[in-house]
Amino acid sequence: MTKLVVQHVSKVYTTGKERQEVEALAGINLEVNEGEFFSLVGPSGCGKSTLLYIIGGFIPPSGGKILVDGREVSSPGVDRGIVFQEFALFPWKTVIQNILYGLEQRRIGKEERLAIADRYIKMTGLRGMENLYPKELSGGMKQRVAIARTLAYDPDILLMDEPFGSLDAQTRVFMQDELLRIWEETRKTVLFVTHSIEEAVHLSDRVAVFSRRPGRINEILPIPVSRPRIREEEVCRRQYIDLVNHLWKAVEREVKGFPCSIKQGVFQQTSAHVRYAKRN
Amino acid sequence: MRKEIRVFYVFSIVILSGLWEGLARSGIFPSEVLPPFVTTLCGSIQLIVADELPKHLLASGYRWAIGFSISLVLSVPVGIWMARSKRVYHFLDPLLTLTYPVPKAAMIPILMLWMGAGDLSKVTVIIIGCFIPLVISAYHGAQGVETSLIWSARAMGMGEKKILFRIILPASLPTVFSGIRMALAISLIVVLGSEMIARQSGLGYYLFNSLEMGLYQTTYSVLIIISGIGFLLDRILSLVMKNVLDWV
Repeated sequence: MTKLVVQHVSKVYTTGKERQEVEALAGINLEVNEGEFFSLVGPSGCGKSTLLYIIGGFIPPSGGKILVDGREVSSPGVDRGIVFQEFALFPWKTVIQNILYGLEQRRIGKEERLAIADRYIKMTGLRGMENLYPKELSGGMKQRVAIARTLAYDPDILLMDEPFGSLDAQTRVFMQDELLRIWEETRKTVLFVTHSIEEAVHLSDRVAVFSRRPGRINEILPIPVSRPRIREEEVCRRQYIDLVNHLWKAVEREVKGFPCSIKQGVFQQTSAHVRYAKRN
Repeated sequence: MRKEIRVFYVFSIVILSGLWEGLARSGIFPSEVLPPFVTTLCGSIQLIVADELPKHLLASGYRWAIGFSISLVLSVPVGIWMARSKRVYHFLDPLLTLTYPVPKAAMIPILMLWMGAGDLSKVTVIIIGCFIPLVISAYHGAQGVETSLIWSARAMGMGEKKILFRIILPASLPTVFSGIRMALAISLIVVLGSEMIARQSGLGYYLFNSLEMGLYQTTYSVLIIISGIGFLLDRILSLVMKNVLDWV
């Protein structure tokens, strides 16, 4: 069943002193099924995160619309939870208070709220850390809190914006498997933005490849690997290697066609692209 | 802070008072111009326990407390409002920048013309003196709140009002507190200055009267009391900060 529909969504930013218009997204069409794990990959600055924020209702699209369960949405709602790369925990609240914060917005009793929070503390492996402040946690632990906090208010769709992007390589791999385990348990619809192609293949049912800016979806690749997925077994398989290589090539094509190197970072890419657009 | 390191802050006070004592005893200055530290300190204690100083202390403290609290209550919402609305920011920013360098002491005679020489003009000048640093700190605090925090709250279903009180306000607290610390020092200066100009009662009145009557030892004793009060208030504030902002 289709859970989320993105219809002809485009986004144009006005930026800089000269009020130049930068086209971030150009006519995105997308359908995500209920309970599906769907990833977005593509070159830096291609508008993947922008699309996620539009779906979340945090920024308005310049054109097109977002449908959740067939109903158009244009503002944030508890049906769409979001997890950010930089965790976005409330630093003045402890772990349990952070998780309870979202629940307090709903009309449920205190006992029930505590029970729900407890359930997600257990699920995300945060037992024993309930009363610590975010500053006392490692990056991986912070992201667990953020995931628990979002899951606790029970959104239908989980929007994840490079959630493991700021973690070290080991923690990242570990958190991927944790996320898979949690996802198997909850079966939420997940929209996952990442720069890591291996991560996308390991986690997803389908992966969409974005073009360079202005972002378009070039290709949607199904990942027909059975679940539960076990990393050690998976990475040796021909099928996994082929999928990763295929996606790498698809992204590389976009990066190489770009008027500057991906290593130079988003800012320079942006200005270079503006110049490029002006010439043409 | 480790105990061994904390000793250093006792050191600096001991060295300063030692220098004072030595300089006074050396005879470079006549003893009425620079009385020895120990004598002055005894004088301070005497002033507090015996003389009419407690009355003046209370008068100053009362004006300071009212002025400072009103300033705090007014400035934090204004600062946050400036951070949330570009229009308000562009409207208020030039006003604040223009009035910031105006010496607050210069406003006292003017305020006295309007409001009389009583408490009202003095409290008003304290409010004005603390207002700008407090507004600026609240503005920077609210301005610096990460968008992702606000978005997370929106996704949880919080309305704008709740976001203001439950996200932006607590997230700005560390910056607001550093503004309070700055305003604290300014407010003490303004209190004393206003009492110097409109002499009726208060620590400033006592200080400048003794100076004019040539009672230099009393002047020094009052100065010690004033710096002691400033020190004490700052310690209390940092203690409050440590408890309220234990999450920073």
